[in-house]
Amino acid sequence: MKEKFMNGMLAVATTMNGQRHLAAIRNSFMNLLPIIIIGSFCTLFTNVVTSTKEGFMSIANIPGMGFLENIQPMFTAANYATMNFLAIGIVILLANELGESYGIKDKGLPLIALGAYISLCATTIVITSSGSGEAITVSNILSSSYTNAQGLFVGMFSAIAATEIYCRLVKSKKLAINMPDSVPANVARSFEILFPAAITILAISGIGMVFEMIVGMSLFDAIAKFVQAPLSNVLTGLPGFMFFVFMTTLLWIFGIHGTQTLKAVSEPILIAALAQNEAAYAAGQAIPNIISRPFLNNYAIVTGAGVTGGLLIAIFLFSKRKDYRTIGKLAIPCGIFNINEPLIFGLPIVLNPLLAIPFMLTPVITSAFAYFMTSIGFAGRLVVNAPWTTPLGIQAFLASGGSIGAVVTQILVVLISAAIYTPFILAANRQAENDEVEEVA
Amino acid sequence: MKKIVLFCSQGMSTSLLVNKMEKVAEKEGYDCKIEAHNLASLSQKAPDADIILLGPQIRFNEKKIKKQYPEKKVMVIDMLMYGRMDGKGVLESAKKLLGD
Repeated sequence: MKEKFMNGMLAVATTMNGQRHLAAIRNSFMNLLPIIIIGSFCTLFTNVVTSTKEGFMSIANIPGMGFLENIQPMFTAANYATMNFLAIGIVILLANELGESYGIKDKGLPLIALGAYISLCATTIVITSSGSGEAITVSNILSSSYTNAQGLFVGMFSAIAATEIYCRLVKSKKLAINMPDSVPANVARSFEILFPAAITILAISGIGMVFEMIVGMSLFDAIAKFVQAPLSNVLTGLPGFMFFVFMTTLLWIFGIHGTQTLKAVSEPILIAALAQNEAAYAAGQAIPNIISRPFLNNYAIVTGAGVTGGLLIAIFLFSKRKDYRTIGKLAIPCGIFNINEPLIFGLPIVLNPLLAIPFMLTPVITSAFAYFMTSIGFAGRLVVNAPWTTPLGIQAFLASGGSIGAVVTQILVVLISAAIYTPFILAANRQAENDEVEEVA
Repeated sequence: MKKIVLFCSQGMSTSLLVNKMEKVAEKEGYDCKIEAHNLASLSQKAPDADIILLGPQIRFNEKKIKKQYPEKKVMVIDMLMYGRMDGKGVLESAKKLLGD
């Protein structure tokens, strides 16, 4: 029975991991991450180092340090250049990844996908003049809402669609124009690609045109409104997020990297939410989202999935089991950097009913706790995506742009985790005692 | 010289195991090169490996990778050995599979 269930879970994980599109999305976001980290750290530097805006706790506001303001444009420009082009980045990376999975390594494919994506974006915008209230149409302009995180979903859809069409056409060879042998191979190749490329871009641009003719709303707006917005509302709401976190730990119980496996679903939404927060932080406005990408890193998987830092504390305070203490010692240096495979596979937590309970319970409870602490304003909302391996405390400090409340909350999260794991560690002591008695008998 | 390449989802936890394996290999005088990478870089890092070791958290990729590199030895690291970062045990099982 157990075996059957285990195999079932493995099958699900294999499908989710091996599934071509999900795998390509996951890898693309992994490659996009450095850009996001650079972008958000630039905002952090601007706000805590170079800003001379009144009320900011920045170094430049310390008398005599005002000269730091002069280097602000460097950070502002780098931030603009990274955070405002996440959709463009994902289109290029995803087309490349997906194409490679089909064995198509054409360097032009990402650009074809980009062309297809931009064809779905509006290039005229209507603005209302603040003075006369008159509506002015500005043409030949691409709004940043098409290039930044707001375009992630449509970007993903069009990159996938473009790659699917292109790869099929290239592979079918029917469209290839046969050149006599005397034509240099590279010349022939350029023609071979031309027709599939043209058909791909025109197909997607055509779908966009027909959709707008029939529905009266652009395909971009429709996807943003009816796909991206509802999904985002669910995952950035507390119940949806708690369910998501629960699913990641459930997968871990079967020894499967849960957070990684579900990334194809969670990453686009949580990163878009982070980008909103980051933009508001840069502009000095109220931060819109409590839950975004760094919320996961900071409160649900800090010290490792299952918030196992608390488990380590419980082991060193209460465990009488030599094996637990040995693994625990080995796990400390990893735990500092939020890695906990030694605990998961060494204790093990995998397929261990006793430890599985607190492992699945803890992140759900700590997420709810951190949500509460943030919503009452004790912990600052998170605006910076620090690398997930950033240690406890420092991570919250950076992610919140220096909120001590967030640091305290993160430490409390680990203490709560310790409290949840403790009774189970005590039970494991008794279990070990019983085993010994049985062995002797 | 044998090249042993370990893969896990991000190449972080396996790199710790690599350190332990290298120490054992050095002690034993086993001539090998051991590396850890993330699974996303499989296609770049796998071709010149003699044996591919997978972290247990990504073990469901075994079949696919075996199919992709039929001429290579592929092994999923034992869960307990992985968790206990048992460099000696892992190196021994890799050597066994390689026939060394």
